[in-house]
Amino acid sequence: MRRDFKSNRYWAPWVLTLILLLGAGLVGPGAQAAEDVVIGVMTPLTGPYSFEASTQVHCAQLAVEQINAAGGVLGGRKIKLVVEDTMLKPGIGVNKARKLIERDKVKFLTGGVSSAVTLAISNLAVQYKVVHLGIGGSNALTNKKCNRYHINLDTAAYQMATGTGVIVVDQLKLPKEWFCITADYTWGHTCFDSVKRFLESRKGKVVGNVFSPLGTKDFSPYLTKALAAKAPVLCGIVYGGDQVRFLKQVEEFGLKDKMKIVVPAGDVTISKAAGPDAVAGVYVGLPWYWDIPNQTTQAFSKAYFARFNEYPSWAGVQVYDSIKVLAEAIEEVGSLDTGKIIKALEGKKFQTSKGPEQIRACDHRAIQDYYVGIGKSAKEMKNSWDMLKIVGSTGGEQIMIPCAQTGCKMGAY
Amino acid sequence: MEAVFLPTILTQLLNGLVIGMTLVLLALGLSIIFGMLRVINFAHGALYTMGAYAAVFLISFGANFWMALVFGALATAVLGALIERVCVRPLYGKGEILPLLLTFALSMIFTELVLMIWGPMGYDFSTPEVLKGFVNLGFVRYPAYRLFLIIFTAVLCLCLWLFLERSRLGLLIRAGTEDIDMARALGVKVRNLFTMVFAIGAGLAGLAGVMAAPLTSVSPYMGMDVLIQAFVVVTVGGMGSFRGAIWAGIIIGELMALAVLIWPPISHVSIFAFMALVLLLKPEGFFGKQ
Repeated sequence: MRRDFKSNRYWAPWVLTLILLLGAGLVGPGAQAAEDVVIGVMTPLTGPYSFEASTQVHCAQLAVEQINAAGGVLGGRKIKLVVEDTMLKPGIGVNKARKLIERDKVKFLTGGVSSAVTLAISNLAVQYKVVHLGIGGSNALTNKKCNRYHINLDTAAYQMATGTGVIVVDQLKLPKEWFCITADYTWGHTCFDSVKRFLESRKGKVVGNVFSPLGTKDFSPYLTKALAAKAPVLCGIVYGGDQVRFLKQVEEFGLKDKMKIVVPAGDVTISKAAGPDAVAGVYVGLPWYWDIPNQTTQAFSKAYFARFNEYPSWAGVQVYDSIKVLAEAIEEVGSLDTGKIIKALEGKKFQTSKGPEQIRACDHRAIQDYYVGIGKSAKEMKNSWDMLKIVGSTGGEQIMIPCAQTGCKMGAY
Repeated sequence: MEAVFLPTILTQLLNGLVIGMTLVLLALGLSIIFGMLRVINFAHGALYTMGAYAAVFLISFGANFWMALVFGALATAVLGALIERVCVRPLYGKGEILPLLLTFALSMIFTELVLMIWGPMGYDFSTPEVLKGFVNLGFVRYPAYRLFLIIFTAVLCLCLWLFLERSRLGLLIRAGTEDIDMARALGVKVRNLFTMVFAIGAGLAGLAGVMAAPLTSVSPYMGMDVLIQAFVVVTVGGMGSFRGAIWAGIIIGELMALAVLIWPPISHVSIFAFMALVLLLKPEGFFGKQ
């Protein structure tokens, strides 16, 4: 009998088998070696934050390489990374985290850029008592929705807004009447609330605000409104691709002649994508920048650049710091008991790639410094990464929401 | 809600035209491809992206915006022709689902290709020097590049219309859109026509990508949102209708811009609500055929 290779009946059973095998994960990474300590990196490799995600992976690799080279943890056990693409979707992130926790028995998770995804994963982590060093800036992550097993080294929107405000208003004396364009999701909303609170505390005010949907391509309608409001400062509470387009279009409409532009949360990757013409003269707030004028950061940036030929996003560096502090906590506790590790992390003081930080016990946010840089013009740039000049810094608990006001009530260990 | 002044509304109308004209280019491409080939081209958004990245590629060799514009459009047209000959042609006569799935798969492949070659970080795309700056329109100082986009696209649509109405090739394309079997029976070389139409449609998408790049910057997923909006335009205007694509494109663009003045969150949703309304009242679209 001649086999009909073109017929589906010949191929279908094999294709079906292959799909089943792949689905069952047998044709994939097998079970980890019993000795390794596995950390899952949940990060949005697909989608608009994919560059930040790729720097999170690189930073995680760098941290793990350094820890393993120095002897690993718990007497020679190596740390192993498993990277999962959350695709910037909470549902997908949770499913993949669940797979890691239930099937692969992973006890430590990190990563994240979007607060929405990080929040979803943190809810899963507390159910399974998995240590989640998530990254995400929304106040909500560490206010009412905080939980015992979620630690967050990212600056909360409150810190971003207040940190930026302290530097541009208190230190640099910019006007206190701001018009805001805000991304319409949890981080945007909470950051806007914090900006409003800060301005009012300094006897200033928000002159007007418009919410732009996440992923807005054309800011011209919102910029038209900003122009009409005639405020001295325009505040862009947007991130990622939205910020890129916001900055470009602000430049396009010549708004910089009429108003100062402040962006409370930026990143070198966004500035690069927007280009020096767009970023020049803009006040960009950020928790970490490769060119912060302190020795620790300069050394870290140099080492990272030598290894990966790029500079990381702050989201990446926070994963680096998370893994390093986790390793320290594991060593202190002397075991992989996640409850004890959380306890060790609460209140822990540790060194990061920008200096000393401390994890607050009340809401698990890190007491840290915040910076503002001014965009450099093309002429001033010494290389293609030299986008900002750091013009001010602040930090500490004074720029954080007071513990009593967080509304955070943690559960048991 | 603060008072809305006339200058603001007028400026918004212009903004809406900018959004609308990009959609017109995409919708025209989609429309003629569907009109003639009965293929719903899900790869259209990816072609838009490829056009923009082709321009980035040429600019990295020192070319200026204008050369990159032509290159982007032509490169995407060639890609379109290749897609038609290699992928779509074997599926003729096999219904409309298969080409749809195929073009959907192609869109994912192209996006991954862009990610692999250029990485996930977006690229800055500069406005051409001569078009930086503003034009004083009285009620607003409007960016010159945006005005250029509106005028250039309008002229392009006119040229396309002239081509379809007045040239022999245009006649063949219109005949093929109306009744492909009759055209074939009359001796028209329909296969080559198909390739040409796909190439033109793709070229329009690529052109739109390059034109939009200075406004929105390039990123691997830039085509995804606009594709959905382009489909709304084609549905509202009528699949296969040239006039429909133009009118609907402008209307949808204006709707998105003006909705922002009323309440920003509805600006994206309003176009779907509008589409639903049109489907209820006139299912074939404004100018579509049954």
